[in-house]
Amino acid sequence: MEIQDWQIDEIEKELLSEGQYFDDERRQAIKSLETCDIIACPGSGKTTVLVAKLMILDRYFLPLPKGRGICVLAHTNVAIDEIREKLGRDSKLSRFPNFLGTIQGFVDKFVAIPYYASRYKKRPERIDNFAYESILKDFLSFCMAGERRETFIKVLHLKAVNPDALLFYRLGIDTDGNRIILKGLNDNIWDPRKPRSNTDWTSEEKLGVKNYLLKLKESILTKGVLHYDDAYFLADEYLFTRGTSLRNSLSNRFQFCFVDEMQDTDYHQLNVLNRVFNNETIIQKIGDLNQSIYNSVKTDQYWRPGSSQKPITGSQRFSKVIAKAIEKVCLNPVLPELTGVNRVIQQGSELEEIQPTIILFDDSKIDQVIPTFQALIERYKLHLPETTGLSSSKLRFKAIGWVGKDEDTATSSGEVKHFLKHYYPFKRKSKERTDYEYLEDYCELRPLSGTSLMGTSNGKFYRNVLLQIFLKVLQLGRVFNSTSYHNVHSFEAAYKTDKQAYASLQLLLFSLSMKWHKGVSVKTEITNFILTELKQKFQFTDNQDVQNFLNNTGDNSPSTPSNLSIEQNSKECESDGVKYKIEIATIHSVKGETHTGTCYLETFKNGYESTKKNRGILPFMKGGHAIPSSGTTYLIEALKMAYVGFSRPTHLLCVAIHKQNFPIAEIADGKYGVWEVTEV
Amino acid sequence: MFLKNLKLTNFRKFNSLDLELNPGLNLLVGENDSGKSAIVDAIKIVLLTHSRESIRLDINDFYHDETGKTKELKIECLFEFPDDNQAKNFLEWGHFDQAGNFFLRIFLKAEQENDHYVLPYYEVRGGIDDEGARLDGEARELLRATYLKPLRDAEFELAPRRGSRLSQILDNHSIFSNKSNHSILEILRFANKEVDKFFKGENTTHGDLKKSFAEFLTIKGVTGVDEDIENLISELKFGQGESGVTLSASIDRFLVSFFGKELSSKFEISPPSLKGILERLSLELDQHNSGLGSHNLLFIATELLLLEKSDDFTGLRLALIEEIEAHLHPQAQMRLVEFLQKECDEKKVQMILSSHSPNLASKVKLKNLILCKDGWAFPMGPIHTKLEEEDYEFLERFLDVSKANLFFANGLILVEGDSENLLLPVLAKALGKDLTKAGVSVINLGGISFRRYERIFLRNSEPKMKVPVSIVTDLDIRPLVWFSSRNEPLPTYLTLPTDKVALLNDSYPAVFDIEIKDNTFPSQKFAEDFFRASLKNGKTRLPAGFKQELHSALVSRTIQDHEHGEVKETVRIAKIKDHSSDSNQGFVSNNWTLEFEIAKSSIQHLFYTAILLAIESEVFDSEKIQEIKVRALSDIQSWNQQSEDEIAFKIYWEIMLGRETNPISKAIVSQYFAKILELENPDDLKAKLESDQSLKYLVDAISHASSLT
Repeated sequence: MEIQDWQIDEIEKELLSEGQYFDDERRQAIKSLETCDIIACPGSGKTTVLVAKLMILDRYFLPLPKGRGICVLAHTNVAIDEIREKLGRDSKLSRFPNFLGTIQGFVDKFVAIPYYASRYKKRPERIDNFAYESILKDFLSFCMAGERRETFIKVLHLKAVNPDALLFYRLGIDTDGNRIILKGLNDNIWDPRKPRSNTDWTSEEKLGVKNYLLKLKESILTKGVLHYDDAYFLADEYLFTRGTSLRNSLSNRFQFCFVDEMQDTDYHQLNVLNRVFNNETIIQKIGDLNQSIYNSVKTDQYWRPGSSQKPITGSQRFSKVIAKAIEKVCLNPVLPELTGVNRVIQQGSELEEIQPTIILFDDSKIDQVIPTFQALIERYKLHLPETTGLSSSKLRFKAIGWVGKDEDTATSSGEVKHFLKHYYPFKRKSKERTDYEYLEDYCELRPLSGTSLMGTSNGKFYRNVLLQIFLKVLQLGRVFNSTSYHNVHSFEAAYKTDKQAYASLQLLLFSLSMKWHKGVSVKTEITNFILTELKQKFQFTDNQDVQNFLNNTGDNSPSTPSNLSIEQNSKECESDGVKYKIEIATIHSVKGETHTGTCYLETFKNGYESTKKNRGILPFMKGGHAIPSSGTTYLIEALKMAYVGFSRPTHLLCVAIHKQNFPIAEIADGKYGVWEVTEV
Repeated sequence: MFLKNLKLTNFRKFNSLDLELNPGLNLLVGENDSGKSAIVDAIKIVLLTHSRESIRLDINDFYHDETGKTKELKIECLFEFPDDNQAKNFLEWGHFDQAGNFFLRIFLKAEQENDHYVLPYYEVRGGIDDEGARLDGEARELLRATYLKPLRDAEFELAPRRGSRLSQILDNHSIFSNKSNHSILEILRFANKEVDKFFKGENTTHGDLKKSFAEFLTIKGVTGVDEDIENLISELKFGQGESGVTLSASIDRFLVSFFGKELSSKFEISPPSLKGILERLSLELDQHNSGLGSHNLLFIATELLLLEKSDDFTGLRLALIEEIEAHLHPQAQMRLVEFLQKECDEKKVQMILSSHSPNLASKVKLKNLILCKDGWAFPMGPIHTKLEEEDYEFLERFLDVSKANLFFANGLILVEGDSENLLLPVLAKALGKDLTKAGVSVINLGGISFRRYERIFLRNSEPKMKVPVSIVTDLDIRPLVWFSSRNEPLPTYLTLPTDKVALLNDSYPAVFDIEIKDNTFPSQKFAEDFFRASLKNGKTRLPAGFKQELHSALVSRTIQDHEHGEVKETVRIAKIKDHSSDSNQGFVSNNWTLEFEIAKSSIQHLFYTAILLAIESEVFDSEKIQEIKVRALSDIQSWNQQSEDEIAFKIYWEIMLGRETNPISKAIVSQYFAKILELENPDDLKAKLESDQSLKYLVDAISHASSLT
């Protein structure tokens, strides 16, 4: 099996714009079909290289001999969607025997769920962090059967002093394969001690607490509600007990495994990925070490490229001046160094590249930052296709920030915390969340394509949400379906025994959906149904929890209806008779994107980009500052974020900084290093 | 709920098809191999049927393009729901549009590779995106269609048989939804008890049977029918009181020796299950010796039972009936389709029928027709055609069986009268074109409501119909000799004076695709028609007030001989344009009428011969024809001092029509003319016709209409 040049030529024509070609380096990366790591830099088109390879495999080599398949993984759904989009909807790669999805999805489907099913003789009901947290809260509200009340009180004591500890602790296995409790994912064994006391519990008491906590985790697991992290624990257990047979079967199934955005994989993901295949599967990992911004332990890269490496160098994206600005915030210097490409535009009588710009602003003028960015775009006429020679569909302007809207907006010290939403009304899309605290929160949901609740039509969405509401009430009302909570299936089954009742439930779901879609409030009608028919059907008492669910409105749920569509996170602009928009987005969501102009907005996350460890990333931006030593986790995190954010634009790069944090005195000739400085 | 839209991609002969369906009746008409069955099959494959035929895609279902079989085929159905009770069953797969209307889109995809490998994508999925979600079993059950296949063998279907069609229909009916203790089961259980007694040697007399029947009725709570039972039982002929006791005794004796222990056997009418009983039922007309057709009607009646589901059935009520006319004579077809149309309207049932029958096509409302042609299907409803509302009313009244042929033709020639109807096939034959063989129909509209018929073929959107339609019409401007021969003054025509020209051009800018000039018209009507034909963008209505302004602007004037030709040409061009749109093409005579043109042509002597023969009512014999032909030629020779128009006028107006006082039958003339043409040397005749200026419009009309074949 060998990829030929003519095959690359074919794909090149389809994938690249006219006049662009795969150079030798990229051709080698496409042709390579052995286990290796492909190391890339921003704008080098690594995903395009991967897609080219996949398209060739799809077109000329699938189906593979012996019915084996290809497994394509990435960290986020966004990255997977991008690959799927490029491959085309009907690509064989998204069908049996191939797999195209996130690492989480892969582990769930091929490792955790099969293992869970074989061990518990049923499938998990839900794999969802919110559902997990909600059920955990439930379980901590009573002493588990067969346990001593004193032990339960000790656990409650732990929770009262450190609620996070109970939220974050996880299951693990020791070297003998016994289940133990860990302080957190990828963390050490949890050995709880008596809080706020000089004398610890006796070893017997301690054992009781540990056993209680272990049993608590296991009970929730048995109920069928899993935290995403539990999938990795199950994988660990599977690998421990039947590792060889798992490896054999997965390697028999997949001849190739390609992992994109490898730098974002976490320790536990890598740990599982590295162990689920034997050497019969060829594994290629593609990534850019400098762009790892997803890892939970922020600063350490767990992906350490192996001995067989293939580089893809040379960015096709940003201008030379932007390349210089990026280089200075780069943690792992790229060799050969980033050069950028020529991106000159007409400025007055000269052809020049646009200098990267720092936008300084006073707290009170934060809402003027994006208009300033807009003014720059229009000054350079970047919104007109003729300026850059790009078609108008390819022109893209984004204002990006690390934190969109933090749940905790209250400030203890009185310090102002600015997030994306302070620059411009911003609403984060909640993609995978299916569990909310109050009915009000559910009622604010609107169908959004690509979310797990949405499914394939909005009818499905409304029905799903309505059923989730009813299930939530049953959970709060302590209604069980034998040992587990009700799920959609068991809920419907309870109705299906009576044809008439099922028909009227269906009709209710339909008419509520119709009203919901037309914007008519359905909260009262849902509440009435729950308190009459549902209550009668499942015989629960509307306890305090149910009442809270129905009547409360969460403090942090905004009063404005959130019928947001994707377009709403953008500012519509018009100049010279041309309409364009500036989109507002998180840095995480723009990974891999190419913009014409990017405005990086600093946001608060353990300090601002300009305040972490004194002046934060500013000295680096100016240049000549050495890479920090240890103990500067937050700063390193910020530098990585800046690196990803700065490397998006082809032409215009801006960074918005709070004026009071900026060393005004260091500005020389209106410049700060390679940066021009302007003020709102 | 009803099937609103069907989309096919690479299915059979459809590269792509996007078909809107009516909520009630849909009649698919078209010639053989036009895709009617493909449409019905596509629906069947996605929806499946109540009769549970095995329906599968196979490799031959893939469309062939130039490069071979296409790789992927797709069938999509879109449903709309006027009733929430039906919609509720499909919420998970359905979608609310912006306006809040709910619809369901389901689809099926299949792939082939190397001409033999079909990816088994039999899974029907629902949703608005390309992936969709699998439709679950219950939802699919609610989407089944009732299907009647073509060439039904009604007698076979209605006969008792394992898995018979009749048993399926009854089994599916709500009357038989109680499977375990249905009344009909009770009847059989009673009979079985009696059978058992017979073999035990009990109940062998009237008295016994009467007693047990009475007991049975008492158990069932029926009383006071003693007399009826008496009558019923006395009608049974109980033979000589046979008993099966010896039979079962023998069998039991054998069993003892075979098994070495006591075993007993039992006779019964098997099996005592509802399905078993239904499979033993047959349905026949009470009259014996009924024919295939009657059985067919009985069968259709039975199938329609499936649509009569009880009110709590909230699924699809859709019937697919192929070749509905099979085995039925025309009147029966008409009655049936009339009934079905009513049934659809009243019972909210949707039907998709296919037919080759012009009878049915003429009977069904035009808006319910779907014409299958050229790898596409054209629904004839008001939103699809350029027909106007009153056109529908008109056509529903006047579209008879012979006119309904137009739906099946490969080409059409619409003519305004009998002469054209008779003469065009004759001329076509002389030109070496057999219209029948080419599938070209000549339709005599017997008047001039051309426009209504023409619009049948004009579509509001792509794709357009490719059926070439020739519209043959007379210019209808009298030759000047008409006036002179009657010593009448030359006619006064109407002209637009130059000052009015400027005025009209200013008042109606961008209305016409011509510049208004000082044209001359034979009459107000011609002037109106001229401007109507010149409207921009195919519009058909003159702007308000234009007519009045035109009428008042026109001034009379007497025209000169030499101007006549120009007037005629103006009118002719406008008339051609008026009738030409898409595949419709107008063909207009140079002067007056068809016969006038023939009388003026290079075969005038043959036409004149036919007239003379008709006058003399001669029996047809070739010697006689030769004789009269010579006479005709010499007559024409003797008129050589006169102009062409005068000669034609003489032959047509004076001789044939006898100056309109004593006309000869056009039909008879045409008949003779046809036979005369047959005697001519075909090559010479063809050459003459093809180069003749007077007949050019007819030659062109024939070749346009037969351009597809």
